[in-house]
Amino acid sequence: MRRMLMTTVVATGLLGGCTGQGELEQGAVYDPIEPANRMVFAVNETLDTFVLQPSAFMYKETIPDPVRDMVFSFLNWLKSPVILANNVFQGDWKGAEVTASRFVANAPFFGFVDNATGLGVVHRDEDFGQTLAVYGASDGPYIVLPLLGPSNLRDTAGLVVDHFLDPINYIGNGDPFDGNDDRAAFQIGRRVVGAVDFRARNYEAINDLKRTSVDYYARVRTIYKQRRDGQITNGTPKNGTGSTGSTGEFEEYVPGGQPAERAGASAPKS
Amino acid sequence: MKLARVFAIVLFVATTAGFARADMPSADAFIGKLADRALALVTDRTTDMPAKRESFDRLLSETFDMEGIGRFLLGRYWRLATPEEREAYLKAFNENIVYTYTARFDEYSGQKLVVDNSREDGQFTMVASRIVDPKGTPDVRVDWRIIRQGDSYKVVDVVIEGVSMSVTQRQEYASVIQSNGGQVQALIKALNDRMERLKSSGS
Repeated sequence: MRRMLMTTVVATGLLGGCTGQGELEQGAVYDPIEPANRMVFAVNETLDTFVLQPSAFMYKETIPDPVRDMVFSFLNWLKSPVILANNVFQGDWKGAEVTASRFVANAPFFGFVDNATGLGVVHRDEDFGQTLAVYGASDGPYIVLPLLGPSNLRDTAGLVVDHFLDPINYIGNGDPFDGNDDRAAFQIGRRVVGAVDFRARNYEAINDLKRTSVDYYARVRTIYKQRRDGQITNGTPKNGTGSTGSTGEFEEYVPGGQPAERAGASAPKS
Repeated sequence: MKLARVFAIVLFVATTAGFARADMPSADAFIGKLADRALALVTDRTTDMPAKRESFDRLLSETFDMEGIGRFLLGRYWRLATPEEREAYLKAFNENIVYTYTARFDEYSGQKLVVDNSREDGQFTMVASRIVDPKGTPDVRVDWRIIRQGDSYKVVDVVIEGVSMSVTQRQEYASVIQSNGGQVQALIKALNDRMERLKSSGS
């Protein structure tokens, strides 16, 4: 496990290193394969329009709230081992304690009933992409994955590692070509329900994002980066900077009513 | 002697702090008041949508630094734009914001904004707040970047769960301009087309 961790850190570090991210404008996302990404994005969007969005609508209109809450907490509960492993990798002992107590507190009903949140022990996601970032790996190029959506090189590597960290992948028969492979069916089913649940919980928000954007691809790209940066620092802004991740850009901010000529100038280094 | 100096310092700090409080509403109070005004507008059932849009437009121009934000969103393209383009862009941008947010008014279902604290950040003040949902869903973190203007504040950015609205739109606008050969005109057209579609869909 340690070796795998080291290899991935080194690999993403190297890949991140050879990319010329230096000339990027502040806050911009490094996206060297944008044309390919846009194509995958368009396919994903079509799937959303014709499959995911209608399913999410049905799900949210026909399944009562309490049942959907149970599905949501069950899915979260299943993630516990992976989250715990990443808490430990990051040396986040407090987080590990939270994840472990949540797992135990919710175990009596196999995670379907979330007692822990009521007790003030709140769920927080961790994954290997975040762990890599904590060890200094940069994002690497932006990648839109088929079906899975926005990602980047670091987080894609993280997905692979998280797959191997998941104990469910070591239970039972694992041959995907075997017709009655319960494990593969379970893992795929879990992702599908997770996607429908996510889309249903953010139904209006995502529809609004689409409806009001002038370049939906670019909008999702920057939101993904900002969300990830927030998750990596666990919502606490770094010292010396302002809000999460974006302060640098505001250095050049010129308030309204002041001479426009100052605006758009390169950021003064203070 | 030493005691006198300490006393003088304490007096100085106390009075300046007092002055700051006296001639300036606190950043927290500014956001609280802004939320109250927005909420009154959202929950108002007696006025129709066009009138609400007008009121919201007024609220925006009074409490948001729309000109500064508009410039910031255009980034380095602001300098490249002609005065006519700047004016057309600021108008399209403003209209777009008003429409985008008023269209979401009917999604409101009893949430409240709770202001937690504020801190200085360069020329800005950051106000941390939460949207609390009575139905028990987790709180949504909202941070406000505000700037002093005259004897009050103006909002520069709203950061929802770590996602900055201004940065998001800036990146989106940059992408539109870049994929159209650096033409600001293309962004203005895209914004106006988007507006037409929003208007015709009746929202």
